[in-house]
Amino acid sequence: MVIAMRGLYIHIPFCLSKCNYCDFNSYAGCLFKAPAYVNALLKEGEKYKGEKVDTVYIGGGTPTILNLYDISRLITGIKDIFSFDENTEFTVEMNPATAKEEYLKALFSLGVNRISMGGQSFDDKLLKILGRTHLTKDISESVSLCKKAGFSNISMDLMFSLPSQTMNSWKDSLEKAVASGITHISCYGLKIEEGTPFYENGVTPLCEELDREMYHYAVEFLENSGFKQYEISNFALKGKKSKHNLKYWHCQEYFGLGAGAHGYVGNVRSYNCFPIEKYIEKINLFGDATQEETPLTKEDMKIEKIIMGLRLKEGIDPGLVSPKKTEELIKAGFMEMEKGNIRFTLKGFDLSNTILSRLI
Amino acid sequence: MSDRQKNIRNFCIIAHIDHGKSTLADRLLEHTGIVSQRDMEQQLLDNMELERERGITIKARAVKLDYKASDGCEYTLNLIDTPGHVDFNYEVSRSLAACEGAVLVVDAAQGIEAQTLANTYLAVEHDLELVPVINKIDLPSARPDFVKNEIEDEIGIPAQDAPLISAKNDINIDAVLEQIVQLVPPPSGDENAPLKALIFDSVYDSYRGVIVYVRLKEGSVKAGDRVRMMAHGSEFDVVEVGYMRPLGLEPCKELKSGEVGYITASIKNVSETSVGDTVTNAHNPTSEPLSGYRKAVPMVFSGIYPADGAKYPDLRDALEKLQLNDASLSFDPETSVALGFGFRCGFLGLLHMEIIQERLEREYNLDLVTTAPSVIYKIGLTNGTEITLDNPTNMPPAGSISYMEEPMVDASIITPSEYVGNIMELCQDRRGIYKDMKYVEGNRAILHYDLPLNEIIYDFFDAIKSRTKGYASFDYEMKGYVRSNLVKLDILLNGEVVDALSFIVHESKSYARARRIAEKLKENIPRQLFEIPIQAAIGGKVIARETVKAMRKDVLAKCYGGDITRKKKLLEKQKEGKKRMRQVGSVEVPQEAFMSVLKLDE
Repeated sequence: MVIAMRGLYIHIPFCLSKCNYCDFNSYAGCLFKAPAYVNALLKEGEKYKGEKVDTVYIGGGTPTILNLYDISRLITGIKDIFSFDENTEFTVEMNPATAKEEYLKALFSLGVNRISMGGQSFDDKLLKILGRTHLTKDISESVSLCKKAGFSNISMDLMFSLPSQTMNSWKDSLEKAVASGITHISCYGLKIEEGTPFYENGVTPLCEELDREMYHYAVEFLENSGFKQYEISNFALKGKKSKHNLKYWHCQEYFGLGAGAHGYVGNVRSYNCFPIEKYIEKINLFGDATQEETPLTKEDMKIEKIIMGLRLKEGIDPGLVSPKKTEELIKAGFMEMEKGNIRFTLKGFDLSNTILSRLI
Repeated sequence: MSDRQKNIRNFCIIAHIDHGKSTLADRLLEHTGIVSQRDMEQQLLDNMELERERGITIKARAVKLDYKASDGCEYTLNLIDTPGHVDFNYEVSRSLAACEGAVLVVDAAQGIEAQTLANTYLAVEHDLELVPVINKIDLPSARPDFVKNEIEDEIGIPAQDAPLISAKNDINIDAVLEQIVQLVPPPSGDENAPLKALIFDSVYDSYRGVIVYVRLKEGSVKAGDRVRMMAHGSEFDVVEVGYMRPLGLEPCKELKSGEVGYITASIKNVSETSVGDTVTNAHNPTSEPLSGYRKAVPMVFSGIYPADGAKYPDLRDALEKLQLNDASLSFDPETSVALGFGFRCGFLGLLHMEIIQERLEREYNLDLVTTAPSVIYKIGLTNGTEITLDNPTNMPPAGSISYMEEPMVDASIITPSEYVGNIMELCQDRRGIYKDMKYVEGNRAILHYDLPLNEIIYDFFDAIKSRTKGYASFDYEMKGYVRSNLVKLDILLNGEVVDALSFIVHESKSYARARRIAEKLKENIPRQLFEIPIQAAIGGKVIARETVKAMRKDVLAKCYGGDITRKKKLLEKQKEGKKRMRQVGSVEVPQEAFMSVLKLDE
């Protein structure tokens, strides 16, 4: 049996400002801690000295608000610790208007070969509502800069179901994103999370009908534009699927570095403590910041294969789920067989939580 | 009256809810010296958890207290506690029959209220001497003089010497004890006559068997005697007799006429020791049993099912245990397509039903689904036979029925006269037949109606209370059966009849009821993968319809490395939630939906 190579996730929990919908583990106004944080990341990485990985993903937060010096020593340090070659998919998340040309050129020359950009919307009014710091014009400019710096694999996040968003605004964003020359799109429906400004201010979600109309439109439009859906929220041109993210959906293993970062190694899921100071302190003291470890049982692994695998268009081995239940779901149009695998239909994706809770 | 009897006082305490009955009982226990503050769990007499929480007394309890009065004599005070609800009126009447006097507690701020009066009438009916006591005099809003006059005007007993007390703050409790000694007459009854003892309660004890609480009217009883339960006919050899003390049972040599105590005789089941039965000596029986005995007959029936089908044996065990202590509870196994294996249970009334359900859930930790309560109908079939029906599911097809009969009750409602209109309206709405109305002292009216039992088992008691600001009281007695135009209403979910939701209703009310139930179900059945039509039908004819729209969206947009564990937990929780639902055909029905049809007025 060929054991798939592991991935590496590095978390950069710094942001210029917190967006109104964001409940991630990220912090604004503490960039002065970045040098110590990068030191801690490299120290934590020493635990895995010599491990082979074939995908690296630096996410956040906003990794590109690290200064060039810090991000360069992070990337070179990582390359010294882990073993990987030029075929490794190496993604860095960036926000529009956070990176200059020379910064992007430097990343490219250091071996970064994929950019994931938080565009979110091509509607300035919506960007303001979301609390984003960039404008629509920054998005296209940043994409051009990335290309100029040598990147040929660029992903963009877009959000739908936003407060006051219209169907036309959504269509416009999709068209502009495709036209900007990117190779991968993630479309996320807004979820109003507890503790966020949206939640505190009583922002109400769009009605489910419009939400689904937007989603269904995106699937159809992107398909017609050459972006094939391969996961509930992800679409890619041929050969441009995110190899790193596929590891999550295939239940393959990955190392996690940084405050609050999750890892999955040796059938054990674990995550680090956060916030930033606590993480730095623990790493400096013990070289480790693990908060909790959960070894997976066979049953856990099976459940994860079902819930993660069915997010993918390729589907899963039908042997993982009850034939009687899948038969009913196929009959009702929520699932279908494709190339020997069982998978959700579009209608199935819409209600995937309810259906998954029956299948596990 | 013998010398022995002249120092005995048998009494109960009656009060409106919250006027301080249980608190006063606690104080009496403390002041007679047996219970120290430390030993006392608050409100000793109400020793079921549920009773304490609801603030009502479900089962009667009794206790023997010693008191040295100001005249220098030692007295035996037997305090007999009474349950406080219409379902248990019979038990109340038997407790009262064991007493010679009643302490009437009235709140100094609120004065006389509905239950005060209803209980007073009951006490007067049993020829009890009333000892008025005015409680909560330390409240700023207390107006004892007004309340004294109110008692004199409305009840017609002298109240100027009524002790002014605060049970809560332990003020003037001795005055109550003195009044009991002075006002309550001592018991009479010949201790040399054949044994004649009234059973006013019994409890099951796993070591001794049933402990029978008795008031001896005549004669005596001791260990070794052979006794007979006159109505039941069974005979036992007495193992032990004694007194109920605040901290437990205290055996004695012999119980004699006028005394209150207990008998154990290796009795296996409380059904053999019905409340109200007369205990006599098997070798030297009394000629006449005490009057007023009534067999406890379940009048309201409901299906009780475990929410988790695997808990069926636990439910059976729990019901068996409860029945040891409660002869009025009946149960037989039944099966429902929608709910699986369960029991058809019979209760005295709706409160009794709620109490049993709550005890099953709390004391036995069971999660239950119950079906709408039903009464027993009589059905005449076209082939000339007559059957009884306590489960709507078993109703024969309309074509084979020639007539149906439903049970009626003789209801009396006491209300302040300004609410007479409201009460009449309610009774009218519940298909009541007006009999008569009398005005009594204190601007109050007693209304008599014939009401179908199936109209009062839902929420009649609550409806009366809400229409009279809680002032009216209600009592009923079974009256017999009358022919009636009844129909069976079926509920269909996604085209399939849900047997557990079927019920029988008068034809004139079927449309309104059908609409309300369909609405309630719509509120309580969550949206699912498919659209679910809810229909209410009589025979094959649909008379009400609602639709639960299909769910549109339930999806997690983002799921990456850090979300997997959380997502798994979320889905497992969702799965657990589904486990608590009942699969009815293709529809998942939550427990609450079954329960929601029980409370249509909300």
